[in-house]
Amino acid sequence: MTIIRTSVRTFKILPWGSWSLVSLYLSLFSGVIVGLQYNLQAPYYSSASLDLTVPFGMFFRSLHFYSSQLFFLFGVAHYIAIYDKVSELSTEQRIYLVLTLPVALLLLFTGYVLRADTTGFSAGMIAESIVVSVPIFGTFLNNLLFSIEANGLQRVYLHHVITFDILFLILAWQHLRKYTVPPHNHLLLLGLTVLFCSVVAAPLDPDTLGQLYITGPWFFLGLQELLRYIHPFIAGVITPMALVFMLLLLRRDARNCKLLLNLTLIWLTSYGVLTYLALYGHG
Amino acid sequence: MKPIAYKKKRSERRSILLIGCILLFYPVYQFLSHRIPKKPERIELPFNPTSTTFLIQDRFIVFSNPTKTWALSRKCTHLGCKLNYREKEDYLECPCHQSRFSTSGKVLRGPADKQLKHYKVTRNLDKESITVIIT
Repeated sequence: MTIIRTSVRTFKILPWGSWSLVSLYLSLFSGVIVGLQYNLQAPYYSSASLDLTVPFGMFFRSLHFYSSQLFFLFGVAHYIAIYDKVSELSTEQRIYLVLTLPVALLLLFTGYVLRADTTGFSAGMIAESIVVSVPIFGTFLNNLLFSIEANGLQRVYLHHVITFDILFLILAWQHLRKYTVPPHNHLLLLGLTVLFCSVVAAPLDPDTLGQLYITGPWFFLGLQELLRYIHPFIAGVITPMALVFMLLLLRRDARNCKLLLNLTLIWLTSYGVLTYLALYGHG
Repeated sequence: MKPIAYKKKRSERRSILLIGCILLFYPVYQFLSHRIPKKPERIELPFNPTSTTFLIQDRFIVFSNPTKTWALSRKCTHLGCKLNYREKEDYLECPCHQSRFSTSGKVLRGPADKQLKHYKVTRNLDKESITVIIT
């Protein structure tokens, strides 16, 4: 019991928010570097060229990939660690901060699509089909967000480098402006990330004909599995929105706090099971 | 100007801006809801139906038997992933959710429930090539 208590206490005092922000700095910096060699007309070719021919290209692509993942994961850990304090925020601010979660996920997701390998292409096509399945507004939303089949990666690129970044900043601005996180206070994290990325390359599928089983980005796997059984609108829109909606309502002093917490945990556990099935359930 | 009058004026200006934004939504919605039809593409390929039985391209696959030649889209009708042709088993399979289609484009196994799109194929005069028309 004491070990658990100590672990929880330690978890709560770790500077997850600062780490997330420092990782975002790295992600933005490496994103600009990678973007200078990325070619929207030949996305897979340029992604592969970054790894194979551009000096330090593999390192910068890896740095962009892993720092973005860290930014998201540290952000989630930050939310869990400060959960007790969520009640202190105004409703407006809480809504804004919870909405940073889907926006950050969209940033990660569009990054996966932009590399345009088999996984990225399939993830993009699935996302397009999901959005089109939205009643009445499907075509409008698809033309706004993806439209990969008709316009290639133009919109995905635009949203990855501009729209979603601006949206994230708007949503997080009130929160971020209160804190100063100088990178030089987190040299260990920066050093470890750089070291890791200089050794481990970011994933990229080889250009082989006939890949028989594709698993999407790690956070997309549960959804990919769910799409096997139910309609894209319910699996791809209603289900993720249910989590966001629960998070919007969830706070320590909420009337149905325990129920909401249990529902959130059930959602996350089910998603974990679906992710496992997507990875290992189809041989 | 008195503070109350100033506040009222500011509130009015905000309402006008809001109405303006709502009115602007309609043309934006109409603009983005429109889909420009794709221009048909003619793709010429070296393909001799008497000696070749199938040819895989990025967006489609061409099959032939002694009586006819046909082309099928490789886009899965479930969620749009790119289908693979499993030559040994003689069917097309989706790598995302494992829907299966026959070489004539019919659904053999879900979750897909619509058959594959057919493209028009014409045999060229040289008899060594075909033209596939992508619409």
